[in-house]
Amino acid sequence: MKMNRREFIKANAVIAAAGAAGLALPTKASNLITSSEFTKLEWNKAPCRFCGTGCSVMVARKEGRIVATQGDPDCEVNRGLTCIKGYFLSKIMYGEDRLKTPMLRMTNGKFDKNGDFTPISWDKAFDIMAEKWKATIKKKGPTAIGMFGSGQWTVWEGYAASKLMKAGFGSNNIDPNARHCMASAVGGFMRTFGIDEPMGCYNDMEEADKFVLWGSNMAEMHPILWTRVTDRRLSAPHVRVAVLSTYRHRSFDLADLPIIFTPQADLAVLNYIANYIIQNNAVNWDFVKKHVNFRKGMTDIGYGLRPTHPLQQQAQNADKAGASSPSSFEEFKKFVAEYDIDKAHEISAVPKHKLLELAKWYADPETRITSFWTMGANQHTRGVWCNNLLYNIHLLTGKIATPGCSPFSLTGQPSACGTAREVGTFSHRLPADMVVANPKHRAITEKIWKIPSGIIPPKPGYHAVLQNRKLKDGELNCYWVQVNNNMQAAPNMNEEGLPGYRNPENFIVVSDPYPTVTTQAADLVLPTAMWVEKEGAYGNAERRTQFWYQMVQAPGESKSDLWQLVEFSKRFITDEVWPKEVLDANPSYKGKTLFDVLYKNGQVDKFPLSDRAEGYDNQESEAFGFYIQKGLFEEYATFGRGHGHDLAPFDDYHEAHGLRWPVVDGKETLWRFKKGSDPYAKRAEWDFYGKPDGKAIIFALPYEPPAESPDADYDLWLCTGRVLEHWHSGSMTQRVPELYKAFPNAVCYMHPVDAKKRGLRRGDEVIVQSRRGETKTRVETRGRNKPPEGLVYVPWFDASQLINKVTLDATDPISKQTDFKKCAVKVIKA
Amino acid sequence: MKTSKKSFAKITALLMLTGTAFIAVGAVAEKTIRGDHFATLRHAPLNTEPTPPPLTNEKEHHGSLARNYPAQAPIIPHQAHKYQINRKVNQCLSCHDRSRVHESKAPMIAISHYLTRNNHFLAQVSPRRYFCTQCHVSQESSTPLVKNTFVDVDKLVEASANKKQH
Amino acid sequence: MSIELHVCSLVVQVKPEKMPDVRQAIMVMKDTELSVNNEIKLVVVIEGERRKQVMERVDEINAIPGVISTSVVYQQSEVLEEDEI
Repeated sequence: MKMNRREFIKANAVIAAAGAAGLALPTKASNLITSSEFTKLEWNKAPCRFCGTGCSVMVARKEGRIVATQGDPDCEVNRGLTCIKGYFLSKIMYGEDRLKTPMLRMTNGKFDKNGDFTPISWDKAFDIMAEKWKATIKKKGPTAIGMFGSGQWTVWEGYAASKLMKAGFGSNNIDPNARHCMASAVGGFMRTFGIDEPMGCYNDMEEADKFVLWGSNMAEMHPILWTRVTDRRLSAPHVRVAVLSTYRHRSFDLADLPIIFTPQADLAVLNYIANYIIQNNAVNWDFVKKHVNFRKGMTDIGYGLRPTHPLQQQAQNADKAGASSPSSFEEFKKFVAEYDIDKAHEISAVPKHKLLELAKWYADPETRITSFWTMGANQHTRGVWCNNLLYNIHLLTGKIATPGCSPFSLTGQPSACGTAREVGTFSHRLPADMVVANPKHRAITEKIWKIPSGIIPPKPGYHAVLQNRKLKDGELNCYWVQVNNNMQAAPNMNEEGLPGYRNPENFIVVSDPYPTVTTQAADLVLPTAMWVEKEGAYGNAERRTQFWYQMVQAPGESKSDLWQLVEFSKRFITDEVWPKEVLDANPSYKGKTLFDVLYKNGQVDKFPLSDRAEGYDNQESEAFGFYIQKGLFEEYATFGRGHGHDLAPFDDYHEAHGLRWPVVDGKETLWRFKKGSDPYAKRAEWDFYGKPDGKAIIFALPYEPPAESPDADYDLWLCTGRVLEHWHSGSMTQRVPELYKAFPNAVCYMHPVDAKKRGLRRGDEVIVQSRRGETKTRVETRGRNKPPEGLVYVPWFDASQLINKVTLDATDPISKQTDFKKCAVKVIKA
Repeated sequence: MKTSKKSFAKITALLMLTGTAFIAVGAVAEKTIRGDHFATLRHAPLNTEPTPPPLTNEKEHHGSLARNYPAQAPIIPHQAHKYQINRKVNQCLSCHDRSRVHESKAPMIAISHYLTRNNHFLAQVSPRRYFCTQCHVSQESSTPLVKNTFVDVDKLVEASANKKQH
Repeated sequence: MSIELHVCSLVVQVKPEKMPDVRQAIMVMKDTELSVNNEIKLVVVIEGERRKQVMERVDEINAIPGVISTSVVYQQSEVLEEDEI
């Protein structure tokens, strides 16, 4: 077994390459230890567990454990690269504190809301859940139960959850944490195009001449996409990059045109650019005449606060925030005319020469331009407007849906698109962009689901922020949280989230692999399988659907979210949850379990266990006796096939390294709405077929001030967000030692002058305080984020420093998405 | 990269170990956990404000840090926050570039970093790999709150080889 | 005396009908070792004393008829002491 260093290095090289190619090594090739029986690694692909980029990684297993991960060289998204988090995917499942049994708060052997967490069996866990659910439905009806999920659910988990809530319990109170992340993007797409998700794809990054980041720190939040932008910028000398933000961050390291603007002023800058395009005859008339309609949006729409809040009471049109009326180019021209360079400069504090240069980029007909945005534009009390205004400038110039010309909304979560949006796990949505409020959509859904008509309630349920308010008010009493850490993530924890979860009237269940802040606020905690401990599917920001197999077993008694949902459905019969009149009209459904009517319905249970791939366990299918993932996927796919959301057959995705929908005749679609590249675009050169007449909409929408701005008492802007090394609330990445040590604790990034004014030095302990709450952290005056004077940045990944005690639960009134980027705080020495 | 000899010796030693690598798998009897101390990354009630730990500094290590598996991006074993990387300058390359390693004695960046997205070799570092800190990070001198039970594949291989022999 | 050692491994994508020819061509190349393959993919390890030498080998492999693409997966460079050469 002796080996010299040269051989050792070569053996390592072989193992790595064989892994990447998915090839097994015979004895001869691996001379680390003489027998391949011991050294053989099994490799397969899986999408990364973290952001919406959707990198594919190769995952190696050995002896039932994950032992290595590396970038997938065959996936177009990342071509072998991953960011620092992706390199450590192998370790995210192995935090020492994995939950292994259900835990219920108990005192003296009985449930006690103030008791300690005590191990119980799954049977007991479902007993108490079912008891609470049934009692609540009986007493208050289905609107008193709710569920909070996420864009980190697999496609079939989100689908199974949506069915259980909307068709099983008859409650639309299901929302994903994608509400905090993508709702404004969805609102923007639906308003402008009538169909959700980007028209372009990542290939735009190799084609564009100019890139503009509107409130997105891609260098940290979408690092692998940033490598593609960097590659383009540094390889093609004519390419330029503009970065707009309210503070300086790592993406500025590549910027040719760095722009810091006053919070909320993006609305004014966008309108200025539209005005510049019109004033300088840069409108693409051929495009605008054929493919665009004009509308004027409702204004003075409030801030999505509680109705009792003075700002809500002052707003004239809070109840019809999404309304709009027909308009014309001439009216639009007049509307944006006031946004000249002086006004844009006055509102944004951006130097005029920078505004002008940016406007010229968009106006130049020869420039292929791609705009990116994420949370800066979405987490915004006018987030839908901001999205609409971005589309305005691309539509005015016809720079859309062709290679390199792309208004590109990036997503935060690995399956914000695939699960939250496409499956429709929002409180107002159904699969394939349909909505609960539309009777036709409900009828289509009830037919595909094979349930009687009248089961899906017509009224949208409680959205994320409203769920916390309703918990606090005691109107939402049974609540199940899966795949996210919303106590840490949701705004205004002090006044809404925490009192809501701890309200003695409520029973809170949280499914998670780890003991998080949210589980600490819960009554019952369910140990949960994660990532490659189950078979899964995610959909990324460019409409790419990617599958993976279950590669290892989850520890202890952990079960996947899917198993939990479906197993729980067995505890209910239709008579306990469905309206009596519906059952009387459809007596054949009487006495059936929800499992029978939702999952054992002849469709979801259609595929036998023998359809599964050899060599991979499938905990849920083995438990239920049929290939449940395939059944759920195929039933779900019938919603979109033939309607612009076509997904390929299930088995294809286990082979391909992701496919971008619509997949028609086996071919993926790169650019939608464009004849020639999108099979659905037939009527004209550009066919925005989400709208009946094929025309997209340019909206007249003004600048309106934010919900809260700094004043004499609270004199600083607070902006919150992520860091490169940690995914969201850090519940996975903080348990990987290398990532923990790379960025162990949150800090308060502050301008040195602001620090000096307050007598603070780097490293001082401070209290960040708002009208709602406070948290303790430490001052950082250098490093990767450099706020201007008057603004501080605090990341939210740190469970020991909960910055969301400070944030404001103001939302976009149309999308209901929280503005995590703007509120007023003061910083004082602790 | 002379210092890597040490780590090489370590790895070899590991491989030669005749084996007590024990892999803990399976259900562990769970105990009751205090309701207000459940979150292991917090260990405090949710309505309190714990004192944040003092800021730490990036650590200087001797030699390189062991990788968890061959394809892991190496961790930066030295302080790095002062090194600028932007459109115009990349201070990491001033030691780790091929043309500089002879002088600096730093490890050269890997050949993979000279490949384009389409696998063509370039004379210089590929722009897609330009921002080093997207994949490589330094380590602060803090102690993780939760241990990680990831097992190095070498130990698994050893354990199964030993199992077979005995 | 010490020397530099550069080792790199790559996955070579090959037209299935050309696999035997490509293997043959690589087999006779200097400093190059074949490892496992299936119908379309082949793992190759190259070693050399200079980086350029290794890169030239990759280019040569790329030029073999039937090779669709090559992707370098792993690379390591070391200084070997006299007793290790």
